Amino acid sequence: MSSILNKFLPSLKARLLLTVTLILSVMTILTLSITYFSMDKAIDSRILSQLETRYVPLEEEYTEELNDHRNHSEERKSREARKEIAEKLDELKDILNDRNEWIFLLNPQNESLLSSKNAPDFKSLHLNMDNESGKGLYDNTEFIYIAFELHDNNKLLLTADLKDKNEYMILYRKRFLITSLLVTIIGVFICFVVIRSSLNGFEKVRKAADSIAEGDYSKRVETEYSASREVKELSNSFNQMIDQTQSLLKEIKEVNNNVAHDLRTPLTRIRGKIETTLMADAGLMEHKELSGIVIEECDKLMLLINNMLTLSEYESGLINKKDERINVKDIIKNLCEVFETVCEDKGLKIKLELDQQEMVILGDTEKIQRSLSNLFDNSIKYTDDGGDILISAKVEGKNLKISFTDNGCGISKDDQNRIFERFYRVESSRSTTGNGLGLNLAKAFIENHGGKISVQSAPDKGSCFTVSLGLCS
Amino acid sequence: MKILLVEDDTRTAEFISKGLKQAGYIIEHTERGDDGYDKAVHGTYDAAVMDVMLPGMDGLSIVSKLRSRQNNLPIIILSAKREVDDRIFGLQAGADDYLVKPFAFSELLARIQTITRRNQPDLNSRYINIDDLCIDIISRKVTRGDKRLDLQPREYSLLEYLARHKGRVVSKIMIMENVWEFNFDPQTNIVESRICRLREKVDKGFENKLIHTVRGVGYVLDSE
Repeated sequence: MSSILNKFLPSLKARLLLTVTLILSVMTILTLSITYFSMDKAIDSRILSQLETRYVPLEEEYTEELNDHRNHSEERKSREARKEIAEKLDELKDILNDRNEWIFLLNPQNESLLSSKNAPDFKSLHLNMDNESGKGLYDNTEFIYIAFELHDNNKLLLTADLKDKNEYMILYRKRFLITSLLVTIIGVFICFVVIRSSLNGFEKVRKAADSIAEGDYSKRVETEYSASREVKELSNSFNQMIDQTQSLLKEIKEVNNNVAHDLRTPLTRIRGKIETTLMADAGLMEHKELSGIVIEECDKLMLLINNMLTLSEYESGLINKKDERINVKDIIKNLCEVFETVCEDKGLKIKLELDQQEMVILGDTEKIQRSLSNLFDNSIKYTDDGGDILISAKVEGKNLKISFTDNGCGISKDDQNRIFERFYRVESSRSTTGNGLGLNLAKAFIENHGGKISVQSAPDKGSCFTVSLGLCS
Repeated sequence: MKILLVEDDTRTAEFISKGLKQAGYIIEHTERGDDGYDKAVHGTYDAAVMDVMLPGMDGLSIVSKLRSRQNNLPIIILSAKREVDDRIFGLQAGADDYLVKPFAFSELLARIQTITRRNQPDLNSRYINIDDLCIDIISRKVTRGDKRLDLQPREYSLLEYLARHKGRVVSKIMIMENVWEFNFDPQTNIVESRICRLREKVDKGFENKLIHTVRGVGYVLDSE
């Protein structure tokens, strides 16, 4: 069914129109047919009840006559009654002729004993007398009949022709066909207009998508004020998607450039070192030295690649969570020791402010170590020689707040929003070591532990990075 | 000592074979997993190094099949996959250790040495002696010749770790892991700096230097 639809009616507009046309015509035909047939029935029953009014006086006369001749034989009684009816019919003659009604008096064997003057021969009517009432045809004219049983088992059959009614019904049928045709045409036209204007929005989205497919990412869908809510919503979602894609593409381009840069630099160094060593006809010691340098550079490349992979893993959420008990105080103390030499080299003064309380969280020790290490490393890098760094860890209710505050170069407002992006480096920091993944990784790890990382900074005054983590209860 | 190497990448197999041969091991190499399994079942090896993705039978299946046959051959799994799950799965299958590619050769060597317990000083002994250096593990006192060395706690841990791996190169990351309990390299010069300080105390004034740097690889404590 769906494949046939797809083949012959591929457009939604055509499908909707066809459906509407079908529904409208079926509904109109159904409604008008029901009205037609119920009218037909109503008219018939009205005619029958008129016949019944005709019957009542006749029946009364007949019964009276039967009673009057109570002492006579049955045969005589009937004869008298018949005579009475015949007289009555004579009285009715003009009316009956006028209205084209016939009256018959039938014996129990359905043979005509008496009939009104205008009536044809009863046998030529070919009536089926099993039913009390019904319809028949005489001289191409339809008539309706009803039979009543009298006291002496004779029957009084009354008929009325349906010529007027049928003419009326034919007229009605004609009007009915014209009306349904009109209703359908008007309905389909209105639907066509509505569908067209509704689908117009989708058409716009399609056109925008087409130009985007051709590479024009600046294209957006503009919705008219009159467009339906659905179209507006679709256009908004579509535009949002394109905004996202555009910024993602820009980001990927930047990341690509940065990765290329970060890969090219050590590769250039490796190649350069090897080339100069080979050209210099160096001795064994130089070659050993060269091998060492190459290994160090390779390790840096490996670290970059591994960091990128780890980041992807964390961002895609494909991580098995660990719940080791981590003593954050120990980690911070250890961190201070590990970074001691670097700080000494730069003449940085490190101040530690740790709350007395126990600081235990659940998670992956290595990832917490790395997050804090990256933040500390960041503070050291961007603080001028002889500066101060304050590391504090405080328990606030059920949370642990660890902050690294420095009085270094600080970060501008614009950069603050971007420093947690992959490979983003503040312009001035291109010369420093690192690959621009440190804060990104820290953020991914901390968020994976249900924590938050935030920054407050003012250029030339310093920065404060704060990590907030839930304590183990 | 004989090592079974099951690795389908010819170049990787080549450098591992070469390195291990230089370190004095005998290597038997096969590229197919099913072949490796047969060799492990029928041959006698001191350890096996195998890749995860192998033709015929994968590394993890080999490990679990061997373990179900009560074969306790020490096995190190090599894999290019980084997923943590994979690591856990590898160890659950019964591997003794797990290394993720790309890895440092020194790391592989150190791990092989650890699982084969080769060159390891007697762990039950109280003293570790290297040349005239003597480390008392219980009292944490260190002497060289007649001279008592005054070491900071971290310097002592570093020296003990080097001494326990006597004659073997330990990488910076191994030192970070075992001495500072950092499972990654924080890219500081702390190891270099502490080694330098340790050298001042251990080697200064002695003709026979014990602490040696292997550039790009790590450090080794040895009498030569």
